[in-house]
Amino acid sequence: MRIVVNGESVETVDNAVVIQVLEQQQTGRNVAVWVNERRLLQKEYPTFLLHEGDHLRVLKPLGGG
Amino acid sequence: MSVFPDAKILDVNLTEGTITTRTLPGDIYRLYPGGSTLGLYLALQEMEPNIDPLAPENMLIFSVSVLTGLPISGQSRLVITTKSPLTGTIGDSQSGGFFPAHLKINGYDAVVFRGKAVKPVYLYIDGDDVSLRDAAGAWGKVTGEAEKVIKDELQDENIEIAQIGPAGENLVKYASVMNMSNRANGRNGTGAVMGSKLLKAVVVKKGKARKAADQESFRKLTGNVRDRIKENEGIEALGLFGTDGELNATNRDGFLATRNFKSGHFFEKAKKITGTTMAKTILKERDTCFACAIRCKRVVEVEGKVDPFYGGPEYETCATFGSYCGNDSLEDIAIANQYCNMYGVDTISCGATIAFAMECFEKGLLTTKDTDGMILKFGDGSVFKELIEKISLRQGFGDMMAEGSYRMAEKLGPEAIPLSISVKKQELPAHMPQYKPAVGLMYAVNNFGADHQSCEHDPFLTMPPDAKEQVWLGMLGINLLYDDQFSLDENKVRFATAGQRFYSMMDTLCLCQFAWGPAWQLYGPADLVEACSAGIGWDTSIQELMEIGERRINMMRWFNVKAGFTSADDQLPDRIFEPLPEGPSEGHQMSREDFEKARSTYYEQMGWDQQGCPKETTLQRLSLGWLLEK
Repeated sequence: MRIVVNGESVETVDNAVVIQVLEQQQTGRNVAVWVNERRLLQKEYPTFLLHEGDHLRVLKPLGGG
Repeated sequence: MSVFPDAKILDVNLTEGTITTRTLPGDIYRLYPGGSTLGLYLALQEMEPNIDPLAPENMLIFSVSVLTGLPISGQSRLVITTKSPLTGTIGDSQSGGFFPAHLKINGYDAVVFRGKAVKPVYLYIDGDDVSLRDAAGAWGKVTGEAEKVIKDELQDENIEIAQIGPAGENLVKYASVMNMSNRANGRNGTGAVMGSKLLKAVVVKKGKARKAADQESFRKLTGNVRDRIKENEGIEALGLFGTDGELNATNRDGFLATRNFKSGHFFEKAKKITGTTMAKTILKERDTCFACAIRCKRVVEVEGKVDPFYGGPEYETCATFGSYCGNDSLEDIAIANQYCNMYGVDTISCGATIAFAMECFEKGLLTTKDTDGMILKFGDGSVFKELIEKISLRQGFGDMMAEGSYRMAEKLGPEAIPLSISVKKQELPAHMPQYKPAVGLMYAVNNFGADHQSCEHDPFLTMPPDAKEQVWLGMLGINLLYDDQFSLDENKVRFATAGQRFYSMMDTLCLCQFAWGPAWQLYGPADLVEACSAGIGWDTSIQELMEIGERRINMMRWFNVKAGFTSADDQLPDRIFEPLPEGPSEGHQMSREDFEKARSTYYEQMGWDQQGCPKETTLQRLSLGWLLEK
């Protein structure tokens, strides 16, 4: 199925959960995620089921150094 | 009798050649338990804030903390406190390595230098055996050679050396103090103060790690450190790719300072200088600091060009000598890093001053007549080596550049002033205020010029409420949730001030801000309370720790007020308020109105007046009433 991640169309497996997309995008789990503008809790990432056409916003926090 | 340990302080009068020790009672030490808080406690009692930073009257204070030398990650940090020749404010600079731990293991919490020696000397410390020794053989030499001379003279490899290079000897305004020839007390020009005193080095004999007061409890913090790292993606990546690991992501978002902050986007070139590229190409090995499991230090090698002895570039160095200068050659960056470490100059101010000079050259404010015939243009990193040598030796054009970008701009005329991207004459680190406005606010109000390690960074407030970062920030009383990092409202200022207190406390306890911190780091606030208890039997609280951090900020501010600084100095460069021209951040700008409002709110939250001066009630609350009597 196709979903949209940070404005870009992405192909992913049917019945994918959020964590699978994060792995596919190589962002790691330590990110903030919104699905269709709903903010997810981190504990939802392994179970939140995605559907065709869902819009994800993934924000990776960048620190100091 | 206090349960808090006393502080042992070495007092070295270089003019008279005398060395004495004194003790600070534990009940006082608990209020100022190390770092620049201890340094300021000593300096504010004995030093006039209006002195010339390079005069013998300036005190130069090396300090560690009650926790330094314990066998746990991130505790081996040295803080140098002095009046800065670069900023004219109180100066504060930190470094890691092994020197800090061994200074404490030798029994000392601080070493105070005053006066000026009649000829170059170094201080040797081996427990109670402390002496000033002739440094004639090491003076004038680059750090690696000087280190060899000292080790040969002492016939001892079992020592750690903190020293200045030729840049410090020649009073370069942003000269660093180097240890291991690759760890820098980089910022604020503390190396120039050392040079002004004809003090080449401080040498400490190595010893064994201290034992924790409660070893069983302490092992609960250290025994699982591998698992902690594995579970913490950010820390694991820091070990694998170093601090430079996030450079490309910063560029992808459009906020990698490029061509002297004219842009936030370095396009595809950023990939050539990021930490992942370094790991695949010139990285020879990872190095570490005393007892630290993270191993974030880079050691790079380019055969015939870059010697691994001098370590490898950090994120800041890759940005200042990379995107700031429009340079995408990692090799040129590694060469620049080596020469900065050899000659002892701060890579941030040095790279940023070169970027400033490149823009001046582009605009015709500098010509080959000024630059000894050198052509300076964005994208050409081949000039770094020659420039760093010229700066360090104050040769020709280098003499002007040795003053830093702001003083250089003053000489070049009013058109050059806005091109100096600095606060309080110190060049900005590579985190754009437009991307991280709380960090930008901190650049402006920080007491020793623009600094990126004086508060937590904005993006962590976007993390979900159940994320570790948010849970830890909650321990500081910060329970905020933002959809992006760009706002600078009243709550964001509260985040900045709370973070500043916490980071200020870490700079007091001399803790690495990757290993310890309030959000993404290896150990968090509750761990720190436990480390104090198990480590030295100090039963403390987050509240007490935060108050210590706040005390340091106010002592620094008081010093600066007495030196003539006001809110007019708490500014950001004009360029920060202009729209960015290209890439993903095109059109983005920081609102000057929001910034000025946030600065006013910051003063209110800190208990200061609108001139940025601490109120009497604030000083009294922090047990600093004694400052009012001076």
